Amino acid sequence: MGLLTNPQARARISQLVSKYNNIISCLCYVAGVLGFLALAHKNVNAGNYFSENALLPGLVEPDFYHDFGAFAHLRSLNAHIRSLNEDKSYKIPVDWLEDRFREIGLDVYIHNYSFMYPEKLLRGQVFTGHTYWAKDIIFLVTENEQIGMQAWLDAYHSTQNQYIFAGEMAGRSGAIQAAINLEIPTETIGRLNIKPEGLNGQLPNLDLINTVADHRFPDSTSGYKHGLETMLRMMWNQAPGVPTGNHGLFHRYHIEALTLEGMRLKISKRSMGLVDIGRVIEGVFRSLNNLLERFHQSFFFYILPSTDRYVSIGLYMPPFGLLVAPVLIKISFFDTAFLDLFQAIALWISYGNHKSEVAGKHSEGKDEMSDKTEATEKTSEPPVAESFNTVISLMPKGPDWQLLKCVGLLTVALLLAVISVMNISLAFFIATMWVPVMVLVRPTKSRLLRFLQYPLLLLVSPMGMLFLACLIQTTVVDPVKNLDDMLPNMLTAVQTSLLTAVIDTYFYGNWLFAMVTLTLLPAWTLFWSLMWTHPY
Amino acid sequence: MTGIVSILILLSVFLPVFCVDDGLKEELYIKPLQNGHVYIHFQFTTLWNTSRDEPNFFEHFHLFPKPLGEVLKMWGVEELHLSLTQGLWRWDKWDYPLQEAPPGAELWAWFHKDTLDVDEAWKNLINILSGMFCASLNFMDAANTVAPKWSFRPEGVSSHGGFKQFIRYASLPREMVCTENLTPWKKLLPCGARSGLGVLSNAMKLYDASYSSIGVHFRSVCRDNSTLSTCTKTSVELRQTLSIVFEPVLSSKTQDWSFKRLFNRMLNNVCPLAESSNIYVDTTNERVGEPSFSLSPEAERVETFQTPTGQDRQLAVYNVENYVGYNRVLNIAAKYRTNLEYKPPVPPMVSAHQFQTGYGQEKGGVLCLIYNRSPTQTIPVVYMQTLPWFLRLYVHTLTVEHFPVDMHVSVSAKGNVTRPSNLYYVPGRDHQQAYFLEIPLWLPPGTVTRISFQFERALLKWTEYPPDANHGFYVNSAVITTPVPPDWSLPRFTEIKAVKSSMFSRFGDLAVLRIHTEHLLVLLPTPDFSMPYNVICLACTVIAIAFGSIHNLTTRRFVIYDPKIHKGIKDKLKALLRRVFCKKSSSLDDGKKDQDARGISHHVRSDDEAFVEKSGQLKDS
Repeated sequence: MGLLTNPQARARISQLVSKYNNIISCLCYVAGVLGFLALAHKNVNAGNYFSENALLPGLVEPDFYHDFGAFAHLRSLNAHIRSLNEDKSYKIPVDWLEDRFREIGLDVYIHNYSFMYPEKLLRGQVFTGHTYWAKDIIFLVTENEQIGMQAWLDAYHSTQNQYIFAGEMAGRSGAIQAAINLEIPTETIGRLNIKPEGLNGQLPNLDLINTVADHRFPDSTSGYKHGLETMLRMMWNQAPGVPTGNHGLFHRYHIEALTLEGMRLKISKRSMGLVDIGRVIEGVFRSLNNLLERFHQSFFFYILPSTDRYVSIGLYMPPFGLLVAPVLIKISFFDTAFLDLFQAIALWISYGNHKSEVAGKHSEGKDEMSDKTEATEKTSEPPVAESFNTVISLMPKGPDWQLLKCVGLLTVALLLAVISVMNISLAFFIATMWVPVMVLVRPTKSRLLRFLQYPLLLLVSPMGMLFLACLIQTTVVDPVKNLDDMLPNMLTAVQTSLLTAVIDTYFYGNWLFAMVTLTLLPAWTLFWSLMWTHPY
Repeated sequence: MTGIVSILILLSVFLPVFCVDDGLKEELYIKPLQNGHVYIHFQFTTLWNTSRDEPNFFEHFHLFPKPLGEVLKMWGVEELHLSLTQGLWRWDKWDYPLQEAPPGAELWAWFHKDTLDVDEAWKNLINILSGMFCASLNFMDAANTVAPKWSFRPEGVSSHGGFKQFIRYASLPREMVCTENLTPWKKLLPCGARSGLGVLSNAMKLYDASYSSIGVHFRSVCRDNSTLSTCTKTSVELRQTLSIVFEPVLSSKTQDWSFKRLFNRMLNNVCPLAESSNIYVDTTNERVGEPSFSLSPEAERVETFQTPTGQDRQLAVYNVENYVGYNRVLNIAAKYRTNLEYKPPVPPMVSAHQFQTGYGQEKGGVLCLIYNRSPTQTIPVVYMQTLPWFLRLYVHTLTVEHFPVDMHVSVSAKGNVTRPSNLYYVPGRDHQQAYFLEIPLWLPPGTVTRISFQFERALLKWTEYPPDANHGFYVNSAVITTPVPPDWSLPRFTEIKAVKSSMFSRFGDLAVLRIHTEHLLVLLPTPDFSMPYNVICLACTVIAIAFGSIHNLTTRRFVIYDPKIHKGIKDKLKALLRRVFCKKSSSLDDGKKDQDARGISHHVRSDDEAFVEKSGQLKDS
């Protein structure tokens, strides 16, 4: 009899894990968190490289060597806007833009859309400048930021949105391969910021970031501390699933997109002008022009500690697994140890299976539904309570609260596993907060312990986490100078983020609100109700 | 004596030539387009007074290219239309061309009514043409070929009046057209590219343009200029066309053009085999305020005529013979008086656009917008679309809607849904047959007609993906065919009557306009092709290294066995002696004895023994 086929040996392992389960859980959690943070170190992650040779960024010889009247255009535009704004109508100067684009020989189309009140947006298209351009280039100027972008994308793909009514489009090209969104606030900037995070935490192909980062960019500073800061900042932006720029809406259509944001000059040694930005753009477009196939070679799941290093899904998943391991261990080993680890895993799998079956049944009934609502339905449909019966029937009999906690932990483990595949940053932040609390919470006769658990549980409730997130946002990420403003600022931030989450769900199909209200909140309620059960 | 012989030889050489009754016309049509483009159209027409009924049909060739003629005769081809195009004709900006062609390669042919197996004839035809024109026409196999019912009618005299079992149509939107296709086309010209207008066909310049299309069109025409129905004697006609759209503004900031600038060549002689060699330049100002230009050298005559709607049109005509020879060269140049100002293009009366809708890798849709901008006329059209078999067309999703052309149309808006009165649909079959759809429609005046349908993307077998699978798969352009009424005020249809050039003869009594929309690039669900390789490598490594040892570790119990402890001095001596004298003789027996005595698993024991033996051998050596 061998190690695993011997029931005695197995029992011994189970007993060992069971005996030290608290220590093991604790070690797993700490190792998980530390392991995740260590990913920012350059010994752990890997250097970026081009998977798609067709991009060949080294071959590009710049033609953009003078400003092509960019400054004159800018001055004239500023004057024009000033004259427009005299009558307090802050509209985009459609006519001016149309004239200028047409002057340089582009095809210009104006696309109308409405979402409550009609607005205009403008789009220019060029197909030849030099004969080496093998692809159409679309210049898009939108109003109302992301709503305008969404309307344009809807019209381009003839998809329908319940709340944004896009007009039929006159000028179109074929399938779009990549999109670069520019946010340049001033004439001279200190550095360029790459913003890849899109809707629902989707990221563009890593090759696009490589292409952009390779074009004479001011490098991001190296060093572990800076790398960790950059990585956490990216995860912080990715977690809510709200696009950090107009580019975020393209990812759903399989268009790789990112935003280049010009950062204002602070205390910088070097500055970039419009010509430098023009050269970067030209280089990126010339590289993209070489592309024969769609972006498919490089990674879609990654975290960036700097522009030239990346952490792939294969690297960040093991620490995350360690982070969630305490939940799985705790399902199996309560004090009474009535559940075997293997049984727990089997239970977990069957639970997940049941859940997806329920979701499948529900979506089958509703045909002709847009992908977006279908996806929301899928996340929302499996009612946690409905699945309980199945789970409970599978479980051996034990004390009531232990059963409830077991189901709760199962739900948490399942949720974290699912979220980690869609949006690792969100899963990581939830896991770091939920895992210790959920593992520790239990009904108790001691009043002191009870009153220690209440604030902990409230802190990790969806609302509590929102507060915490806003607190971190106002103190760490975007520090407020005046401390007196902090609290009101935070409160407004909480209000607006709640509202935008709802609006994002309806306008762009953001999953966050649906996911929190329909899965995280019920799971948390389980643990909250656990506190009120009778302890044995 | 020698004189007589030489005369005889000369006669024998020229006799067949005298018998052949054929002629060649060379023509070039130049039209400056909106916003600085220039449209150039070459046409070389060979007319041969012979017909299939005559005994020595296609036997003695003179001007007609022999390689092509033999193929046409052998496979009973009555009419053939081949076009190889690089670039997309921009209908909204460039108006109508003289010869329409979709991007890539397009071939359609009518076969004679006596052809027994049309499919076999088609197969042979595409393979021969494929070699002849260096194009991958051989991919126009059964899965790609259709037989349209209404869209493509015979353009000449037909032996059967146009039954659809005698036509085959196929199109390859992905075909890249370049010099290697132009060279064989030039070889078919009686004068080649050595003299005449063919000199201008400089590949270096032709494929540096916005649009470039070569065409070969063969048909039977009436010899005595009567209508098709009353035709008694027929001739065969071969038209070779070359259409280019240049954009001279790109290289220099002016829109001036000349032969020298456009082709980097000039005309210095005429083709001696040609009956006539004419150049037409359209000098009409389409719109008021459009910059006018002056031509040099001046044309020998300028034809002025009126369109039915009262527009004045002008055409400058050059007879090349009068301009070249005796060290004179012809370099027609246009000089503009003002600089180019870009203006919004004025789209033509009927135009169409097609695009893909939806996103994701499971389903998709095709949407086609057909514009009828005429304020008064209802225009009949036939919409034709071919979908490859791996895009499974859902016919039940087919909708046809009309919208007013000037109304703000929303993507989600519903127009006047019409049920097409007739529909020709051939369902596809996996790997064998493409989905084919033909819908005759009436376009009400001043409307946009929106035709839309959904499809599902099928999974291909992994060997069926091309090497660059992530590039996507091309879908043919939709073809919108409309008969042109005689009073339609299109410039080119008016010119037919005015100039009496054979270039416009195609529109004689059966004027048909064919609009090819944009072709589509559809992405199919594509596997990661490096994945199988990775999986195989990984799986083999795991099995080789990990499986054996882990399997042993988990299924067997191991006990430490130290030969030093259990063996006495006598045994050691024995073993030593055995190793020295008879290496293999009694080892088996001893091993068995040991096993029985100590109850050690055979596995471990034998391994151990092998090790001991090996080390013994090493020691010996």
